[in-house]
Amino acid sequence: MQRGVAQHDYWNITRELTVSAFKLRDQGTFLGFLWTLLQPLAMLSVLYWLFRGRMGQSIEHFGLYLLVGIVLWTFFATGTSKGLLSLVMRRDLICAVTFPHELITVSAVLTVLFSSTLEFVVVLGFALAVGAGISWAWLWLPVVLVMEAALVIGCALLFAPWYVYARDLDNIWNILLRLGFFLTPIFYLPEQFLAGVEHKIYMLNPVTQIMIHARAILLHHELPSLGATVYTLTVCLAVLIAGIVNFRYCTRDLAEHI
Amino acid sequence: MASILIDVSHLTKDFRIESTTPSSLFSRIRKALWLRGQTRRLRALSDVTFQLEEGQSLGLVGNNGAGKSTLLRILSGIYRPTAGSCHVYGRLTPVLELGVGMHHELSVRENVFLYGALIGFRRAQLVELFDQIIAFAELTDFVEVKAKELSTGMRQRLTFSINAHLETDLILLDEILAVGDRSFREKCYGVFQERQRKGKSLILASHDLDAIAQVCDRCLMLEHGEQHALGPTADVLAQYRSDRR
Repeated sequence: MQRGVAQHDYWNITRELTVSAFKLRDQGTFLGFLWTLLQPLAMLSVLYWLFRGRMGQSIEHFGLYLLVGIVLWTFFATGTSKGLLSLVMRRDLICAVTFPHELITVSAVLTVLFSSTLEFVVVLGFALAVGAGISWAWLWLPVVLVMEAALVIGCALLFAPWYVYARDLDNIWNILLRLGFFLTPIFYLPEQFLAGVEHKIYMLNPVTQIMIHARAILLHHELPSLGATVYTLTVCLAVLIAGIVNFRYCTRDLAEHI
Repeated sequence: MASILIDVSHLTKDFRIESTTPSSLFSRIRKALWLRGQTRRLRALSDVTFQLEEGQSLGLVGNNGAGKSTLLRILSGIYRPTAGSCHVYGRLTPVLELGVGMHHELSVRENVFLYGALIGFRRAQLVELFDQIIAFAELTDFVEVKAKELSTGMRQRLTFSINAHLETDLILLDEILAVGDRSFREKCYGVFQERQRKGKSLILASHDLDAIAQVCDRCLMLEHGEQHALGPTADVLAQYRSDRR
């Protein structure tokens, strides 16, 4: 079938969907964006208080170490969760308006990325405040965030169409995220608990790699190694491509099933 | 000779009505293993064939459940045909549900830019056409008002106005002339006539036979998904009226 629907400006649609979702999220709340910050800061307080004694002693700038982990994990968890629900939440659009529907999912993730970027600005301020210093390596941080964004968008494009067909997928994903919180080095050093093959398997997790990269930059003023960067980039791009292919394949009859 | 804009041939559309709800991962796995209950098929369109040339206007008539909306959704690319073919040679604007795409918590201005982007406007075009869109929708005094503060009719007028300003070869309208008061409907007719003068096409699905007679030069009558008549509007409407008696 030759399709002749009006040509779409992908960038304009993405921007409008993202900006409007961001506006709506902070509307009606007194503290607006501060509410977004409150969650990682509250988690930072609790984890710092609990673990500063044992695990914290062997980690330099433990507060900063925690905050980087929490912000990056929150982006992954919130971005994938919102992305997973995105199509079903905009059922009205899918059944009545003809436009590239993947932009609904992408913009859901970008809304979270926008918040996470602002949170990362707070992280940088925190790094200066605790005396971690500043360096040229900070310029590599956007690359780390872009890699994570590619991973999150890829996961969202993988899950969102399947959620239309299996509405318990969000429960399953929430359980996996709960496990992932403990299987990702957010508040501990993996070397404290794992060695050998277990450690190697553990390090395959791309979110772990992203955290290690960000911490190398902020805590040690070092760029991540070329091998680690290539591995992480490859995994993130592979997930993104798999997500795009999956989305195109699974959404051909979306309007009939949603 | 005018060129063909739409070529529909032996178009059939089936919907699968699943016996088990709600859908879960477990039910999907059972389905994959063929352990699940039967799936019922509902034939919404059966062997529909017609062509639409540039500049022509086609009316779709039929009782509820006849398949009018399904046909428009297939033409829009929202549904895929089960059998047959559907070719669209040009750009089209589907106006299938007025008010959909508006966000109630956003202002009228924000909704124009959001909805306009979704249907294919570029931002620069919207900036240029903004005042005209608002004036046509008769919402000049409500630009900064949240959409939830508008009446249903006002929201629908705004959606129609945005769609009406998009320059495409064909506009698909699903029962939208019930929108607004008489003067607004007259304005809508004016838009359709202006489009026709420019050689643009239109497909209108409606129960309002007077509107069909006023706007469309050809008509397709559907009944239970089957094509019952296709031809000049006056002839098809006469048949439709006699069938209903």
